[in-house]
Amino acid sequence: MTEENLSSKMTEFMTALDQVKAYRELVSAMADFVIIIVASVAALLTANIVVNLLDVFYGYGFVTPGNSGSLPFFNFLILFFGVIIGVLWVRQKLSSVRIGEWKNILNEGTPGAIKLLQETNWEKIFSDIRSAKLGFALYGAVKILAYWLVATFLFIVLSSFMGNTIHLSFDPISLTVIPLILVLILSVKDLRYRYEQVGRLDSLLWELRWFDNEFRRADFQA
Amino acid sequence: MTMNSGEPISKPDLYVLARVIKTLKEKNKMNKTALATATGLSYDRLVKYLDWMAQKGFVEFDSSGDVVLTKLGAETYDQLVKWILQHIGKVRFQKLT
Repeated sequence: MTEENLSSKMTEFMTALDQVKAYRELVSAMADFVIIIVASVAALLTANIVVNLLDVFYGYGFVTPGNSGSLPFFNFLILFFGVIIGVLWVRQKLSSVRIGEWKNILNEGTPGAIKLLQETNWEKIFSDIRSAKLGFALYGAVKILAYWLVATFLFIVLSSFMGNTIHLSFDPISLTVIPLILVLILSVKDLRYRYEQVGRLDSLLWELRWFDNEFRRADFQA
Repeated sequence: MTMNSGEPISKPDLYVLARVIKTLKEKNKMNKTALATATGLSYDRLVKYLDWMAQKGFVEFDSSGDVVLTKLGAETYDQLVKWILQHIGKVRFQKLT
């Protein structure tokens, strides 16, 4: 048992806390993500209302002459870019979380490790882990909903194309259920990963609670 | 040996103690001014800590007034490292990626 062991164990500990910090950021990033998606849907609805009004005032086909499939395609594009911007925004927010600030302190060796442990706000960490669990799980769900929305619009575009070419049409329920099934199949890996991470965060919470308890009870006697 | 250093320390900061002991372990013995510089403490604060540590038998002062780490001081430091390792070593950090 050496100081090197202590440094490496502390590095592991602080890295886990950094990860929790990043996951914690998901909660606020998720709100932004939802706002971006809702704004995309609002933009889409506005575009449709404007197109329909122009059609009413200037005659059908004024905006998209001779091409009835282009409007659903533009709808899909608006949503697609909305989701892409949302996902990129979340990633940017996560990557902007400041991590590794403890490295310089830990370079001091044992005194640095002591300082880090002394300065650790355990209650905040426990609260952060709980938020991280919630944010991590909810973000996964919200992302699947957004992908489902995009997939549905893509499917509408495709079915309109298929209806025009091979006269194959889908009922409204199929138009929403088939994309959902596809999205869920494609997201299985992500869902499993999220499930496992939430479990890991849970066990981290319990481990740290135990450590906090031991640390508080300890009375270092010279 | 007691030094005139104002209010004595009632509850020493473990971080400061560890810094002082670690520095002394590395340099064997040091004068107080150099030790204050090496540990980043003000001279007055260091003197208070040295006073407390001398009372506990962690350090002693040689004839020229230099600070020397005692065997007890070195053992206490090792004990501290062991204690932290024992406890933090039991925590299993599953890799979160």
